Amino acid sequence: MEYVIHLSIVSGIVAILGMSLNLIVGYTGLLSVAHAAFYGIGAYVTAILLAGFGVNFFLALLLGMALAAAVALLIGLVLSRFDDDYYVLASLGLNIIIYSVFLNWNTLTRGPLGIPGISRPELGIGGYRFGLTSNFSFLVLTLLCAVLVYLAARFITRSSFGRVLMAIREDEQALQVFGYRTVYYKLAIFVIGAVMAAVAGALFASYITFIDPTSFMLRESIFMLSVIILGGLANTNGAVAGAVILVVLPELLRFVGLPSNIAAQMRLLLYGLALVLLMIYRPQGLFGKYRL
Amino acid sequence: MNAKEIVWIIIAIVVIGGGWLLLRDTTPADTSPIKIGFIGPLTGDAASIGENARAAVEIAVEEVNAAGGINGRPLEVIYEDGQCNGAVASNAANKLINIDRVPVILGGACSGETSAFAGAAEQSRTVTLSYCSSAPAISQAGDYIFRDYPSDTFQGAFAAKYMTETLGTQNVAILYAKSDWGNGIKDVFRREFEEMGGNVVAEEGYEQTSRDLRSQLTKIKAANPEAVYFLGYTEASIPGLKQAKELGLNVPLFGGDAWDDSKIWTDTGPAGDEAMYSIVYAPLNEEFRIKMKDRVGTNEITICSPQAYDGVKVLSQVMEKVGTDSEAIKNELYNTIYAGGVSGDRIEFDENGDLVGANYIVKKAMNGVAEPVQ
Amino acid sequence: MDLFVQLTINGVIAGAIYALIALGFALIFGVTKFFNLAHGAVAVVGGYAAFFFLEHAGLGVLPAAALAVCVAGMVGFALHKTVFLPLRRRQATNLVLLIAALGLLTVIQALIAMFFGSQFHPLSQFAGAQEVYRIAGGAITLVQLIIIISALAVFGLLTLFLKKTKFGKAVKAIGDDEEVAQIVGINTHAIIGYVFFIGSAIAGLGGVLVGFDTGIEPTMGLSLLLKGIIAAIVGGVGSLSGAVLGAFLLGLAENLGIWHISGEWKDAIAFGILIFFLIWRPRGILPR
Repeated sequence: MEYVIHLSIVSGIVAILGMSLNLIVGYTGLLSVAHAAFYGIGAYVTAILLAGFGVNFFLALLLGMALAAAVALLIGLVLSRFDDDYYVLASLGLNIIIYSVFLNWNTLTRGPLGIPGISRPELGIGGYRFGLTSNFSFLVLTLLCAVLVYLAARFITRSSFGRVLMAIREDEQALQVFGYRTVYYKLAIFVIGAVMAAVAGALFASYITFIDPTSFMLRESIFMLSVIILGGLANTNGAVAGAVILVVLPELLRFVGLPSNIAAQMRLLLYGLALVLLMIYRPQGLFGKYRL
Repeated sequence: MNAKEIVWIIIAIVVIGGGWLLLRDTTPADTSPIKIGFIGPLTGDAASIGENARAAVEIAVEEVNAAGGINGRPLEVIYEDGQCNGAVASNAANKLINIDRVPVILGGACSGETSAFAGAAEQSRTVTLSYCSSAPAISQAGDYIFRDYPSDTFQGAFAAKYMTETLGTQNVAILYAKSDWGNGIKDVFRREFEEMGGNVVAEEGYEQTSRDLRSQLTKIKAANPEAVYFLGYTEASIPGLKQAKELGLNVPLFGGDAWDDSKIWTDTGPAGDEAMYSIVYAPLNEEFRIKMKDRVGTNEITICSPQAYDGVKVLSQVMEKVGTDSEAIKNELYNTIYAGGVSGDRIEFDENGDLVGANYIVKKAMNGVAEPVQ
Repeated sequence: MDLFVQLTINGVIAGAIYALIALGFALIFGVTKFFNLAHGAVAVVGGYAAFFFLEHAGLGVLPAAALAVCVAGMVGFALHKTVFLPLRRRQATNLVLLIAALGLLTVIQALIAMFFGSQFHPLSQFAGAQEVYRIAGGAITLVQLIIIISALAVFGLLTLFLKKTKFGKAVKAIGDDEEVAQIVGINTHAIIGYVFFIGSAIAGLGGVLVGFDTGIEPTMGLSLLLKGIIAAIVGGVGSLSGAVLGAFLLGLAENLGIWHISGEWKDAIAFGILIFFLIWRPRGILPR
């Protein structure tokens, strides 16, 4: 049962990442592979504040979201000048640059040593302290956050703001002709997505209680992209489905009993194969409404 | 009673009876195997360490079971791949703790692995005995976290002392892999070396996945060091050593315990000549050597395999004495003194669960083979 | 002064490697207009094919390398035939092709790791002792010299080939406008197939040479590819001379850039350059 709770927490975190990236990629059509950077910012802010200064988790979470928003604003401004292929490349480059910062800015992030001893969230009501030390309680927190993100995503996509985003995806120039300042919309959704990713990062840091730069490399961004491509772009439910599938499936491989050399590569193989086959036979993913 | 009520009663009986059958502890306590977990890099960069350690563990398990097991029960190990990656090791540990319900995990190898799941292990009161993690921070990881491999605070200090006193070098450069191991030792070394009056003329880090160290080596060469402390793993050290020679960096190269991999010396050939490195002194013994050779097919006994072997023996001895309750095992480990192992003369744990004392020797490579320096 | 010379030499060597990757990439981009991320994988295939021929078939260095280059070319051609062509026939967008290419890169790397293990292998052990030459205070090995000469030679031959032959003219035509080329009667699908073969073969050569210089491992493809892409963009997308120019500029910038900064920031420098160019000069230095 504990194992199921563990997988559920991980799925929840990935689902938040998927839903937030979906807003950027699926709805607005901005193919960003920089998302792991914001995931990392949320995680590192939480880690540093919790492990180093004993700050309350929820405060650290807010600060992480704020920093992610600020960085996203800067990066978003840079990226908004590009379209399509160049957007991908630029976001890729930015991801690698931010990863370098995580890895090399030793005084702040301890570089490859990582940050251990991150505490679990604590709630203080009056004089009573309640710590989320059991995994089950952490699962509740994660699900709560996931549901909030889900509702926020639904709200955005059903609003007129969301409709403008989808219009940008389909034909940005036409919108501009109509007088819409598309740059602002793109920037806004990029920042919103980044803030959500930071929430996932904070949860991740507090759950595993240890983070190091290797969790925020380019391959993580590619993994997130695969989650929503599999689940189907422009579909919030799809993002959740994709997250659960891509978290649980590799774990199931653990039980199949392949020789260990093959097992690790098999995971990558299936994952790459899934991307290729999806592109050939079902580019809109499982539940998607938007064909790339 | 009508038919419907009878059906409900039957269903109730089935559910309760089935539930009881499923949930009761069906294993008779006498002869079922005692299971412990193992986490190590069975794939990836550090696979040579993980696979070799696994072989050593298998030998130890066979010996334990051949001698009657633990109070008559056979010992069984569940092997999980940590891939030298925190997130992967964390998942692996979660499975071992929550599905297999092991009282003890022998692992991880890489410090990143151990650091990642130490929290979960501590929380679930699962004893963790790492056979290879040397990051200094692990000393504070928790009550239930032990290691029979010394903390890197020893290794950095040893190297500083050796380079100052034995090699007589005052100005050295540091080339290190950016990882918990590389950064950890580098920091300790720098502190100790400078305290002894030494001068670090250059410090260049490289990403663990780099294979081209020419830029860093070029800058180091320009700083004119008398020696270079090169903290690298196998993969980068092979081209690194060659590139150093190619660039004309002809000063002594001193490495860390990761250089105790024969692959480095066979692959670099003459470029590796005269390179030295510090390694925990493991007395080994003939029997262990022979059994490893039988199982692995080569003479290769990588670092940490002796510690993994001894880890199994220590745990078996403890479980023989106090049973499989993890808290009892934990308490007993603090009182354990294990002598005559293959990884060292004596295994004893201090109040942090760290191995007490560390005995290092220096090996030098020549003609593709590394031998202890007399 | 010695430091400067050596860093420059290092930069030229790196530039030559990037050029080999960038050339193939630019060639393929020129006719298909999409970013073939699987290009990195064929470089790895080349390296491992050479390893296979050297280790298991006992061939000599030159025959093994030549065969490996052909194998890489064929794999590239196969990818075109089985995945990219069907997708392009269906008018798939560039993003779909890019993601499919990414999937292929992952698959190929995983397969290679399954068959050959994920360890790092230097190919130089098959080539014997390395000769080191001293030039103006800096050192360079024979293999590194070969890399530089190969890059320039391939560039030269390729440019000549494309300028002087009918095939070359067809390639240019397709690059200008594929539909028109088809209307005019050029068998675009076949020509593109050949382009994939040639481009992948060049990348395979890059993989083989990198194998001899440092070594091979299954994950080397992505980093080589990314540098090649940066080179192609910086130099001018779709243009061969641009790719080569961009490659050498990138190599030099990376290596000279760390003169006063720590070497660990090399990647950040490379991608910083990419962003810079994408913002201020997306067409590159020598656009088509």
